[in-house]
Amino acid sequence: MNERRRDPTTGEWVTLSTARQGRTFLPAFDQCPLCPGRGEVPRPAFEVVVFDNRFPALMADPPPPDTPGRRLEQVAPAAGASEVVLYSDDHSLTLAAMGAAGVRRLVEVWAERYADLAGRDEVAYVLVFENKGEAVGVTLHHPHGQVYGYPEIPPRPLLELTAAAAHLEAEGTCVHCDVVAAEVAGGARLVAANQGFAAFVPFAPRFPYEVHVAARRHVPSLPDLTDPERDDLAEVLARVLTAYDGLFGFSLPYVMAMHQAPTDGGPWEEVSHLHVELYPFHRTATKLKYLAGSELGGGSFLVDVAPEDAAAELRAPGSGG
Amino acid sequence: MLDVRDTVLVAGRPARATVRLANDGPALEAVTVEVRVGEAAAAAAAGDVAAGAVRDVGVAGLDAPAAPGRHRAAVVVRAGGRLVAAARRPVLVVPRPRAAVAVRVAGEGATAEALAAAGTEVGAAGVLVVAEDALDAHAARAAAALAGGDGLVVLAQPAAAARHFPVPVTLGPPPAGGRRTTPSGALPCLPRHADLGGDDAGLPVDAVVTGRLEHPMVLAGDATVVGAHGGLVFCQYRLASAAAAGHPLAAALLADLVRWAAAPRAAMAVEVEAKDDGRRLAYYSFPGWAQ
Repeated sequence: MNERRRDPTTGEWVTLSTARQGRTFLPAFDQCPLCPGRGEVPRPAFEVVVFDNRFPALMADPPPPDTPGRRLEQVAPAAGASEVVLYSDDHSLTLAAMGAAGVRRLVEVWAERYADLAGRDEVAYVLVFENKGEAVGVTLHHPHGQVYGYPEIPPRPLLELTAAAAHLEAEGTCVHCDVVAAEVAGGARLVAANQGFAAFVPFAPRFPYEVHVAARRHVPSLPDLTDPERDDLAEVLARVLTAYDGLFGFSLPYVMAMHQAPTDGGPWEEVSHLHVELYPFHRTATKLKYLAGSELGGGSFLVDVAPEDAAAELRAPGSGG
Repeated sequence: MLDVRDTVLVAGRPARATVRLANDGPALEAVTVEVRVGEAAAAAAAGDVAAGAVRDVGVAGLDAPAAPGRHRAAVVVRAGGRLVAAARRPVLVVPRPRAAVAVRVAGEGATAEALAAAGTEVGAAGVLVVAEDALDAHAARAAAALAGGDGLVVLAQPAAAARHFPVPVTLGPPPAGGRRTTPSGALPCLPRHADLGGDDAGLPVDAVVTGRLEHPMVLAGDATVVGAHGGLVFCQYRLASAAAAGHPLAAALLADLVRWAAAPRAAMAVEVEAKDDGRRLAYYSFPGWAQ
């Protein structure tokens, strides 16, 4: 079954993709399907590869829904895109270990994928993301991320865009521009910054060591970045990832997601501000932040670490910040 | 109303904005006006403003953002701390033109002065820059420069000069409508993959290269205004006089063209294949990129 269903009680769309139950799950190194010359990539070596997911949640030509739609059971084809981005042919690498030069290449690839998917009629929102580490549910350890093209704007970005539109109406300015400027000026939650980008623990994070990496200029999406800004994004992102790995002395699992302008042709430019959100699930070296009753049942996050303290830890010398 | 004198600013340089309030609503008390360009801001108190009144608030001085690219210039008007109006417009911030590249000039006119404004070192060696309307008289030098691998920039030429280009081109009148950049990123002074809107106002175009060459940079419809083909870089914007006169975009564009001719940046290469099951597979490589 591959279809989208709308929850009539919340208006949220859910994607059903039952074939994903058959995905390869944490194979041994010599069975990794993402290594060169094996299952997915025929060539013996590569720098960066992007391919359509073998188990796509969303696809360009989806089958019609299995379920007939009814008034309270609205369904839609799972239209969109599900791509896998292999960061390297080296199975042992992580994004942090690739350094700024490696991340810089990926910035170029992410921008190209955004621009390409933005031109597709079935894609209304492009989400570049990475799930790293078993703690966040990764199924393959080979360094990789993903790009999803959704047929509508997903709830979290839509919430941000709605808040940004309200701020624009009330204050006349982009809320992200105001926040970035304030974080750079204040410095208490700042983790790293250069001319083009700033990384900071947000004022009201959802995870203890959550970091946002935001453009200091009002830039809606990756393709809008100048070359020096692409360099700056890579440098700041690499510094944050290095800081993460220094935090508890091991390669920190995280979820990374990029928020960019929707691609549905709407007037989003004034309220879309490129930023990367990183959510590590660890709250200590040995304890994870679980989404429990308040978070899942109430949608209200409880955080155990003061953002100012988290930023100070990430700036500490051992964290590489 | 916000009157930023130029829509193109030079990164880090002082910018001036004239602010005039036209109050078409009820009387306002304790009015403040804030002008922002990027992270820079300047504020002024305008006092009480009567209904229907027009008030010159003055000139707001601030430094243009240090980061080149498109920014928003915004004016935010508050009365008693409450937002009453906000206006925004895009401004383009260009890098300071500093092409530390040796160039030589073929032709007359403002080109040498323009190249100096672009930060180049004009002399007897280096990239050959063919002045506007000078290709017919210097076609042999241009061809020799291209053959010798010296780097060649051909500035705007009339349509009749097409036969003198060192690579086969046809020139025609520019199509109606705006111009846009390609994703190439070869011109850091312009936004990538973007409609230029009024960014290139003041830089006339009399003729364009019809069709696409190897590396288009600025397009007008299907025609090319700025591009490269092999070692040739051409620009059909008439920018020499403007650059010599201090037009920031003209000087920055000229600097970018010369830099590209001297050392083209290797672009990301993409090879797309179809897997056995029809799925798309793309290999990305980065020849010449830093490790």
